[in-house]
Amino acid sequence: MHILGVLLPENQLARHALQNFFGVGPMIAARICARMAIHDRCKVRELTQSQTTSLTAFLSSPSTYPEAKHVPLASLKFKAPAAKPLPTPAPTTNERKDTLLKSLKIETELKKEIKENIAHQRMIGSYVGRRHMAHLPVRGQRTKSNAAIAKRLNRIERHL
Amino acid sequence: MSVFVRRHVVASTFASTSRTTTPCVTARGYASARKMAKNQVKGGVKESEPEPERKAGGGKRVGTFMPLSAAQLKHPLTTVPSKLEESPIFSAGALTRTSVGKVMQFSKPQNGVLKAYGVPKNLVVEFRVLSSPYSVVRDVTISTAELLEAASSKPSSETRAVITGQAGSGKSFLLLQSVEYCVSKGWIVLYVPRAINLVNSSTPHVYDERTRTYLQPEFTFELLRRFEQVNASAMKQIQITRPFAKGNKKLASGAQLSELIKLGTSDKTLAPAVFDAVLHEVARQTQRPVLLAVDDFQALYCKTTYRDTQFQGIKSYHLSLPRVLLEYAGGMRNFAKGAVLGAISNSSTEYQPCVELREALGLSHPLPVSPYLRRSPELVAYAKGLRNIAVPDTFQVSEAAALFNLWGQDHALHHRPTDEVFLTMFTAASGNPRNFVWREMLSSLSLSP
Repeated sequence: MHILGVLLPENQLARHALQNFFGVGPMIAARICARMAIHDRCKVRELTQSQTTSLTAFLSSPSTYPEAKHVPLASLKFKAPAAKPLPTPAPTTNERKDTLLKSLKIETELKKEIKENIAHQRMIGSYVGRRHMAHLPVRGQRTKSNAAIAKRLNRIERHL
Repeated sequence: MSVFVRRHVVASTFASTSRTTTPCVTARGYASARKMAKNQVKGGVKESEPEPERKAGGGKRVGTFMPLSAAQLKHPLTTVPSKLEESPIFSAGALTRTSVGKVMQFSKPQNGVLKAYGVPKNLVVEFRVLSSPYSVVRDVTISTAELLEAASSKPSSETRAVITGQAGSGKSFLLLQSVEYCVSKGWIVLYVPRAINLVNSSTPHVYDERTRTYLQPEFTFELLRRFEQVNASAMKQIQITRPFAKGNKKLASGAQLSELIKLGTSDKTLAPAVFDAVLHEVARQTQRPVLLAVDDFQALYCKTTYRDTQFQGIKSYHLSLPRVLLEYAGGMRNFAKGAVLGAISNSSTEYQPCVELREALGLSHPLPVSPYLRRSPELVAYAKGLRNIAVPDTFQVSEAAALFNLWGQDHALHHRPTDEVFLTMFTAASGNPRNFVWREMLSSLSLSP
């Protein structure tokens, strides 16, 4: 299955397959699955149409996706009504808001942010910017030996 | 997206015994086969990797036993008829005080509970090795049967018991014997062999506004289907008293319960509502007693792996099916006649009995528990009034001897079945039933050194 151009193999667990998106690791994938009510052992081929649609809508724009609603849960002595559900109680003011998924950036947006950060460092003339320009390690690693990755990848216009 | 028939849910959620008519099996050690292939692929003559050290306590690898097909059975030994077919079938009529220490086979798979509901995970391999599923009748079997006999005329809130004991003492077997006993007596039986699958986030969950719980439609569908298979005759005798209406599916009161179940087994989305209605009717009726049997009972009281949309853990009593089981276990709901029986399992390290359950059953805690530790009021309420049925930790010699003779008669032992071999195995296992079967008798079949 393809979502937003990224291949999610059918046989993989959904939580693992979501990590194929740039910027989604195991923690974010678990959160996304919880948000879409996808259970842990769900494979990509078992996703329902509504789940796939919600995933696509969320991943295309995480900041504009509606927040998760608080749902009331049955207390010990709760008796379910025979027909219609009881009115939902008003949400309390101290409910936790999920900011992690709200501020999530993936794919192109995230790559753009990383490039902008590097460009900003160069613009202000910082040590970090100079090290990127020189294709050398940025975070204090040794250069007497090794540093091959930095020499290959550290650029102002970094390829991501 | 194409619609998939979710056979793997059936396979993983409910495992059924594989039947074989012969005792010849292959031992399949997956990990050792993979290691061998790895050595060969890397090329050249490579020294084989050192064998893993035997664990303290005798952790010998047994492997997974799969039955051979009939075409592969060419050795004359395989044509020798097994005497297991002559042993009596486990039923209420055959169960008396004089049958303690005897081996009985479970009912034939075609009509059996084992085929319909499946068995707990640790019994699957054990049942594969012999020609037919069997069990040994012990003292505790008779006492549990007497308890169930007394419960057949009382509400289930008066008979709520949990089978406890050390690892490998025979709790799951006792529960299975109780289920078979009740089926042979004509009870309505609802058996959940692996309650862990209810709470380990292995089936879909969907929030329901009316009940304010999370439904598990697929699991409920499978449970309903198996319930109908085992209790088909009883379902035709019971009429529903409450009309059923969900979506465009309606059923008037007075219809047979089997028709209501058909609605649930034809549409997975209706399964939770139908299951609720069926359970209500079954609980109300007085024609037949009802047994609710749950293995891995402690999992209902543990934290689940499910998460809600805000990534908060979902409690077990906020899942619809575990909540129903907990309500019957806690006495909040009851059958007009019948019993609730659970069995604790020590196999899973993730789902161990919680403090509230241990205190309700009078079990000792593995670590000191502070009196200031907060006990969940919900779990305390769901565990209140549970009775403890303690299974003896060891076999009696006569029981172990009966089992040993059974294996010998079924040509399942690689040793000659002499008294010396029996006593050696019994002593090495310290009388523990699982060790006696797995570490001693099954290990004699293992092909790995």
